Amino acid sequence: MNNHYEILEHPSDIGILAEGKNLNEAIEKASLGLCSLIVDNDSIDIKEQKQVELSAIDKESLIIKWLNEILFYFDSESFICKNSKVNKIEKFENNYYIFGYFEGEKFSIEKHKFKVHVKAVTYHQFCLKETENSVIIKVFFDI
Amino acid sequence: MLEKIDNFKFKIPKSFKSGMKLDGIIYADESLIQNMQKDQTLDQVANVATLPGFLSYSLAMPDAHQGYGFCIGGVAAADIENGVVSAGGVGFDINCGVRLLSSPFEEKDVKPKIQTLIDELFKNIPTGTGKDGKIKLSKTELEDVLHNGVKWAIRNNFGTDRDEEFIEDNGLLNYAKSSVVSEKAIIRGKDQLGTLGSGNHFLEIQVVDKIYDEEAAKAFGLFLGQITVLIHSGSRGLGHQVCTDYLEIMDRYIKNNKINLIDRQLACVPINSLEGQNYLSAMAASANFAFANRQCITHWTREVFGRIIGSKELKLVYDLGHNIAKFEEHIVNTKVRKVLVHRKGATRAFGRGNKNIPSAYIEIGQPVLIPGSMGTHSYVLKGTEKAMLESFGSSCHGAGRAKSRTKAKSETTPTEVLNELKKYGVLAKAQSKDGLTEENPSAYKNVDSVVEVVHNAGIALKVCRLRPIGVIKG
Repeated sequence: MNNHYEILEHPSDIGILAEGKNLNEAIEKASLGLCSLIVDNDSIDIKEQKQVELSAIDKESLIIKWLNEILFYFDSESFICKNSKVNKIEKFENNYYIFGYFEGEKFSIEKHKFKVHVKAVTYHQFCLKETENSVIIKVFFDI
Repeated sequence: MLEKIDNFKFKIPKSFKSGMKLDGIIYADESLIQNMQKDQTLDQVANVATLPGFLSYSLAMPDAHQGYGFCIGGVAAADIENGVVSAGGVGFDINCGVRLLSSPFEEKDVKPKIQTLIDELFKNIPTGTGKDGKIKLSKTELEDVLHNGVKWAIRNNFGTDRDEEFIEDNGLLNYAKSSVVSEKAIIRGKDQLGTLGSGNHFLEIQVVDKIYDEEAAKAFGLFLGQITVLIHSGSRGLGHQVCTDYLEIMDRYIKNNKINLIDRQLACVPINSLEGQNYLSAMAASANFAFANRQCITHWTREVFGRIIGSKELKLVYDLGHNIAKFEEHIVNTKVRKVLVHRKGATRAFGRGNKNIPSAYIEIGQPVLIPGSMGTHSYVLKGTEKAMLESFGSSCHGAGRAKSRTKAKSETTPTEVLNELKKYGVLAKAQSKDGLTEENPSAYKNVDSVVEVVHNAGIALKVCRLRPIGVIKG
C-alpha cells in the first residue's frame, strides 16, 4: 500500500483504504488519503495547527467525524491539512473521544494544485478492522 | 430474481431480499439494467424497500447508479403518519438542482463572442473550492436566506418577481428553521452563497437543436436555434454539513432505539419524531439556500450577457431540485394520501393540471430538466399524469455515471478532454484539471438512452433537446 493508503474505485465517487500499526496511525493515514484527494500534498506547507477534539457513539462514527472535520476546515477557513496527529482515543461512559490536531496552511489557488472537492464522508461500505498489529480503515467519500 | 415488466420497466420482487416490505421498480432498458447489475444499484433499491413506512414501491430511474444508502436515481415515498425520513435518502447536496434560462438570442448572435462570454462568466461566477464567494453574509443575514430562499435574493436585487413564479415551490420551503441548522453548517455556508461548486456542477451555454413537442416548447418559451443557459448547483458546504450532522443524529437514534438497519447510511427517524421534524426544517433551510444560490448565479449570468451580448434578458424557464424530500399528495391504493417523497437524484415531473406548477404551464405539465454530461445534449421534458400515477410524480435527473472517477481520469488527459469538447463545438473552462478528466463525457451513461426510457415509459415526455456550446465548471 503506497504511503499506507490506497485509492479505491467506486462507481461514482472515491474511497480510501488505510492501514496503520494502531488505530491512531490508521486514522492519520486515512486523513492523509483524504487530504491528498483534495490538493496535491507535496504543495502544502505546515504553517498552522488546528486542535481537534470530537466525540461520537462508537469508533466508526468517531473516525467519520474526524475526517469530516478536515472538510469542515477546508470549507469554512480554507485551511488545507497536510498531516494530522491523533494523540489519544478514549472511551468514557457511552461515548468515544478523540484528541489531536491537523497541520497545514491556508489554501491558495495559485500555490496549491486543487484536485477535487470532497463533499462528505459516508458510512457506505465503511469498514474498521482491528487486529493486534494492524488496523485497517475503508471509507468512501461523496464527491 | 429481477422480473421484466415491459421494455422499459423491471421489478425486484419482495423475495429478492429478506426484510423487503415493498417491491422495487426500475425504469430501464436492457442495456441500462445490465449496467446497473454490475454495481450495487439494485441491492440499494431493495435496501430502501426494507425501511419502515414506505408506500407502493421503491423506485429507481434509468440514470440510477450506486450511491450511498439510496442509489442515485432513487425515489421512495413515506407515509407521513408511520413513515420515516432518511437524510441519506436526500443526500449530501441538499436541493442540488438545475435551472434553465431562455434568451431572445440565436446561435449566430452568441457564437462569435463565445470565448469572451465563457471567460467573463468564469471570472464573475465563483467556481470550485469553498470559501471564495462574492457575497459575504453575517449570521443574521444567512439566517434570512435560510428562512426566505429566493425571496431574499429578489429583495436584494438578485432577481425579479417573475423569477419566483418559475421555481419549484416558488423557491421557498416555508417550514425551514435556521435554529436547527448547526453553527458549523452556518460557518460553512456563510461565504458560499452564489458559488457554483465543483464536481459535476456547471453552467452551460446551449442551443435548442431539436423540438419534439411544439406546443410545450412554445409554452416554455423555447424555439429552434435559441440560446439557453443551464445552471447546475446546490446548497454547497451548508447542505453537506446539515446532512452530515443529521446522519449522526439519526445514527444515534437508531442505536438508542435498537433498530436494525441493513445499511448504516440509510439512517432514518420517524417523520413525527423531534429528530425527524428538525431534520426536515434543516433540510428546508438548506433547500432555500440552494434556491437563492442558483438565483445569485443567474443574476451574474444576466449581467455578463448584458455586457457581452448586449441584453440581460434571460428568462427563467424553470428551476427544480433533484436531491430533496417533499410533502406531496399522491394516490396510494386508490386513495389520495399526503406522503413524503424522497428524490435522491430524481426530478419532480408533475403533469398538467397540477396546482403546484406555474399557471403558464398548467395545460402542459411542469418542465423536467435533464442535464447531460459535459459536451453531450441536455433535454427538456414535460411531466405527465402517468408519472403522478406510477412514479410519485418523478422522473430521471441526468445521464448518471458509468465509470468511476479514477477510471475516467486514467483514460484521458485534461488537454484531450478540452480538444474532444472543441471537436463537438464546446468551449470549456474549468478550475480543476482533475475535474475535467473525471467529468469527461465518456464517464457518463448515454443521456439519450436514459431520456428515451422515461419518454417511452411515459413518466416524462420529450419537449426539446439542447446542444452545449460552452461550459464553465469548478
